[in-house]
Amino acid sequence: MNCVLHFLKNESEVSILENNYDILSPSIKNQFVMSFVPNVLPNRQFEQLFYKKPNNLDSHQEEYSRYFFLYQINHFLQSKNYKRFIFVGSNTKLKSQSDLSDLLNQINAFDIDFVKFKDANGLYEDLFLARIAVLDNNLDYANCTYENYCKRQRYRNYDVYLGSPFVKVKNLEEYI
Amino acid sequence: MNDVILFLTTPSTPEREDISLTNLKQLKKLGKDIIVLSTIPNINPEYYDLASLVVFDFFKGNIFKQLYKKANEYPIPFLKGNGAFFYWFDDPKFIIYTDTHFLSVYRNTKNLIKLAYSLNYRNFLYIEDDHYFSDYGLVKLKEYFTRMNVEQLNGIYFTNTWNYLSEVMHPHFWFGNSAYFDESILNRMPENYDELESQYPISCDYETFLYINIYKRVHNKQNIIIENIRGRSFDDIFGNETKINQIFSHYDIADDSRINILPYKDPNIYKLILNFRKFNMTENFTYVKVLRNDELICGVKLKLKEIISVIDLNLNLDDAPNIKVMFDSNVVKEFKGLTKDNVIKNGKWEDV
Repeated sequence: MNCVLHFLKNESEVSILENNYDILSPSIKNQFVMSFVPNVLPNRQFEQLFYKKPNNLDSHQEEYSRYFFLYQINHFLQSKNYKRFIFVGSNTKLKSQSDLSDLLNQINAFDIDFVKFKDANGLYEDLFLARIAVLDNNLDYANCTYENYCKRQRYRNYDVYLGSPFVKVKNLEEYI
Repeated sequence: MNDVILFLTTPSTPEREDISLTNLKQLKKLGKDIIVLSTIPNINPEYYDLASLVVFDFFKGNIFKQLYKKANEYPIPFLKGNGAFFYWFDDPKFIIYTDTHFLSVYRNTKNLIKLAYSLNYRNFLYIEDDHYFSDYGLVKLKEYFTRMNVEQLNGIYFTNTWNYLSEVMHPHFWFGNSAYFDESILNRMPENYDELESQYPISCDYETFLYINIYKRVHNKQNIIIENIRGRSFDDIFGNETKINQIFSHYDIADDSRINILPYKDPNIYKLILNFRKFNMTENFTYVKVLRNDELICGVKLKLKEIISVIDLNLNLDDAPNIKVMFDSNVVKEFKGLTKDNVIKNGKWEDV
């Protein structure tokens, strides 16, 4: 099963999130929201919407909170037998003609595990496509403690966050 | 991580919000993490302070009364729904079917327990929002949590027996082991109409469904504690200051189980049921009026307090009229666009 996980970053971006929902809903019915902005609810038919109160001491903590939240929701989606998802942040307005769902269907046990996007600044963190079981393994390797998170980028010489030998990288400009 | 409280809430009015938050604040004293699932948006910010995660799910999973009527009216030897949900009265003898939101409850319960499992909590207390546990009640809840951990239990359920026949599990709250539920039980809980039908007829009634699918039909019944409430009350366990199930649609004056219209004799005779047994009513006598498209067709002074009153109505429903029931000058119930077909689904009057 495919699904979409929207990340609502700011209250002002609700309309972008709703736009992304409308673009993806013809091909992907089940969509979810995660957010640190309490009580800001997009006006669409989501399966569930997950909210946490922000509790960040600094930018590292903020990044870790997001990582840990993603770990929890990804684990939930896996337990509900979802296979792969599109993760899209509300600061990312998708092009209406984008073929993201076709790209998502390329992700499976026999092919690639992730699709990542890059622009002139490098890899873009607010849009990626993931095989949920592999992402779960990525996120879970260090039990998600803050200490392990801080040194998460490389483990025995491998990237472990959104990491797999089987990754496709696409040009972000084609999609947003 | 160890224990979590799974809190299902619908704080749709200030009164309901007050009951829900008071309950949650008491439960917070147990010192456990809390996951709240709300079925309505724009909740009080206090929920975010009390819970580590707040989830919203706005799916309206209603089960309509015609399903209950059908389930209950299969003749022997067909599959009669032992889980059909209805109100049954003996004197006078009649049955009333009402819509329920049980499919939403199945779905929300399942997703809360899935979250407990996904977030690596070992044991959970699943609880609805309309209770109040006194400090003594909290001590008892804490003892149950301790038993879950020390005795490595899979569940603690509170059961009952209705009419000496039907075994049920009280849905207000129970304890469970997340991994046990994920492995043995959650796959049976419907979260959409297709899955509901696959569990028919036992998915009709929430309490029966819980007893059958969480306990009776589960292979592994080891390490389960059953607390049977029959012949006693929750007060005996949690103290008389603890209040269980404070919000119940049957307590609403306009609920279909309180005021309803049943078919009686063709072509146009119907029974208006006014059921106020076990209902908090201040006035002894009430002037009851029935209006068809705002035209008075019946007016009578009745004693409603603590009794079931029945009025015969001669009603033409061919043009799907609006029927209003008034107590003194207040409209207490309105049947909009009432048709014969709709009345048939309301229930059955049985002449003695």
